[in-house]
Amino acid sequence: MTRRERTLTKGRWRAIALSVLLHGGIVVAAVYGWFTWRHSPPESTTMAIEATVVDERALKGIAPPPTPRPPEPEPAPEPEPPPEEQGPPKPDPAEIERKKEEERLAQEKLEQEKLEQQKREQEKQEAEKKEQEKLETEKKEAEKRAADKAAAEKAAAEKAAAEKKAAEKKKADEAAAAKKAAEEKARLAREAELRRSLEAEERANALSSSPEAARWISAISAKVARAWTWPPSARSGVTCRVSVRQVLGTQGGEVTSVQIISCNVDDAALRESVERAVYNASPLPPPPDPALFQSTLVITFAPE
Amino acid sequence: MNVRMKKLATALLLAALGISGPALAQLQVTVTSGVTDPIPIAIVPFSRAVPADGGLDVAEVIQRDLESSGRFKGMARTDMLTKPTTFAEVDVAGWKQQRNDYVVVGRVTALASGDLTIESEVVNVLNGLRVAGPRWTGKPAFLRNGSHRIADAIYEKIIGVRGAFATRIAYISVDGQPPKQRFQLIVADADGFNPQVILEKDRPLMSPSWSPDGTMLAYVSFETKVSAVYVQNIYTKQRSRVSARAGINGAPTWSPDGKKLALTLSGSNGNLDIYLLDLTSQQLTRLTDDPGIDTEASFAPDGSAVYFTSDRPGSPQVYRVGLGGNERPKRVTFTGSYNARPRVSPDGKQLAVLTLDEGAYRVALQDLASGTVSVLSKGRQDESPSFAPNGAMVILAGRERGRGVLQTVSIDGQTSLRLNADAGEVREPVWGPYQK
Repeated sequence: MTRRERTLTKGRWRAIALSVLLHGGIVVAAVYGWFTWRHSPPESTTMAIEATVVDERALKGIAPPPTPRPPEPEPAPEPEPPPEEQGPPKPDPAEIERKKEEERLAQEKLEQEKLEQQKREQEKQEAEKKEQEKLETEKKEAEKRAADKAAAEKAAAEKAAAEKKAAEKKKADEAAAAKKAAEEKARLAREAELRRSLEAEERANALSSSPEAARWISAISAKVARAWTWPPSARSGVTCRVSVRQVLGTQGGEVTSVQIISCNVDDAALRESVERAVYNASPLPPPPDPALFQSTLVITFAPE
Repeated sequence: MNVRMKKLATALLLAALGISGPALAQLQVTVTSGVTDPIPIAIVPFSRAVPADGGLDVAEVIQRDLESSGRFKGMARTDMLTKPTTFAEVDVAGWKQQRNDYVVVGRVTALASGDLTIESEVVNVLNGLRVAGPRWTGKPAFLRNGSHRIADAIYEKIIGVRGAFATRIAYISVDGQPPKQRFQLIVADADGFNPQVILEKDRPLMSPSWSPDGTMLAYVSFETKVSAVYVQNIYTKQRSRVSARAGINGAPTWSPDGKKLALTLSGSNGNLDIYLLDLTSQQLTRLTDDPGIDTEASFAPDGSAVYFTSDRPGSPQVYRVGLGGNERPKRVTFTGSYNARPRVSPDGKQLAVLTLDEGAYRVALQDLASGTVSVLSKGRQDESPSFAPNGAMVILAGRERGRGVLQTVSIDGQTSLRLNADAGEVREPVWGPYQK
């Protein structure tokens, strides 16, 4: 037991004693008052002086609260119901002294009780405050933990988002690179095809002015002419151009289609005759060099 | 940058713009000549309408017509693997395999009215298309004529020129030996079938000539012992004597408008010249006036001139005289010592003449623009050439075993066909105009 606790215990007992005295005094005073009131005319109401008797010793013995703090407003202890009628005390000095002493004691006791009460209240408040502080602290800690957790989660989420973004970017970059590569490949293929085509064209052009080509064209012309049963309208000045599609087979150019491009005369029989000529000349003579072969020929029928 | 680089750059640019690159220079082939080889065609026997068709083989008539032109070669029926009668039944590939260009299928059906119908379909087996479907409806008696009309349509579709199979010819038939002879003026189908006697005399009949509308014939008859020119309707047989002048009345020819005849008249002095006779007014106009013999007139198709035979250069040659008025005849033929009996082609571009070729009388064609001459016939004593109205054929009279016969020759000289004329000796054939 601390010194402060001992002081508190001692004071408590003193307060109890004072309280008993005070209450006893009050009872005596009440009886006395009753008797006196019956024999004396009512006087003008005199307000009892309300005073507080403070036992300095007691006061001295009470350590001030650690943190002076105004007590919570609290209703004062309900005073004993005053006697409805109180006759004037008898002028007995001893009695008066005694009474005074009793009152003083009672007052002290009341003070003491009040102090006790205040103290209890204070303690309670302190405990409550402490509890509150504890709760506050816990709450703060909890909040802090929550905040920390949230922060951590946020950080984790941000990290994940960043990673995802990075992955997506990587993927997009890879796709773009692949696309670019494919386009580049296609471009190269086109270029290669065009080069091949140009080379083929150059070769064909070179061949087309070659004696072999001249012989080939002449062979086609001769075979078609032998197959052309020309109608009476096939006179000098008449011209028919036909587009001929052929595929290179083992026997030569197998004619797959014959289409009239233009005729300078409106003559159905002439058209039929040139169509027949080409079909009947199929297969057309094969070229001496396969590079010379063309799947589409233009044959001009121009009788001389 | 060399040319190739430039081309490549251009091609790439075009490719980038989505434009296809320059195409390869197309191979150009030119054909400047052809042949007149017959076009292979299969005329499949038509389904029959028995007995209304009188047993006529329509497909056979058509095939004979087409072959007579020299332009077609019909497939032998024994080579036909199938006998379709509709386009749907035609196995195009099969007929093509057998080297045909065309297949003709058809049907003869009898109608409730008693008429007959010929339906035909022409299939080009090279491209598999049905290219024509000529049809005819008429009396059973004219089924043969209907067949010729189908042949005309097929010919026109494939050759591009109107066929002249459904036309008629006129000629003189001579029977018996002098002094007892029988002369007939005969009109027959162009293939020689259906001969009909228009006039029969025991004195010479000569020089028949068709009116432009094909209803009349002008001719020379010696029925009165002297020559006279008559015109006669071939349907009603009505006739009239239009020239019986003193001396010779010969060689009538109708003008293209049908209003005049060109005649050879000798007058009383015996000098043969060409005259124009107006058939309505009987007015006579002298066209030539020369001491030599001018005869055998023939009109240019446009009626602007007359061609005739004249011996004024010392031997028979062909002259031309314009009808504009007061024109001097001009000589037209210069090849050989003998060119007579001129006939102008329907297009006015060629002249058929009787020429002396290697000691033989033959029919020749002379191109009027270039003067080029080609001999058509191959006989020894051919005579009287006459153009078919489509100009594709010439009919003439030749001699076979000492007997006059009729034959047709394609104007390229490739095809010659002897006509069916069963009785006597035939001479002076003339090909009639298109029938309506």
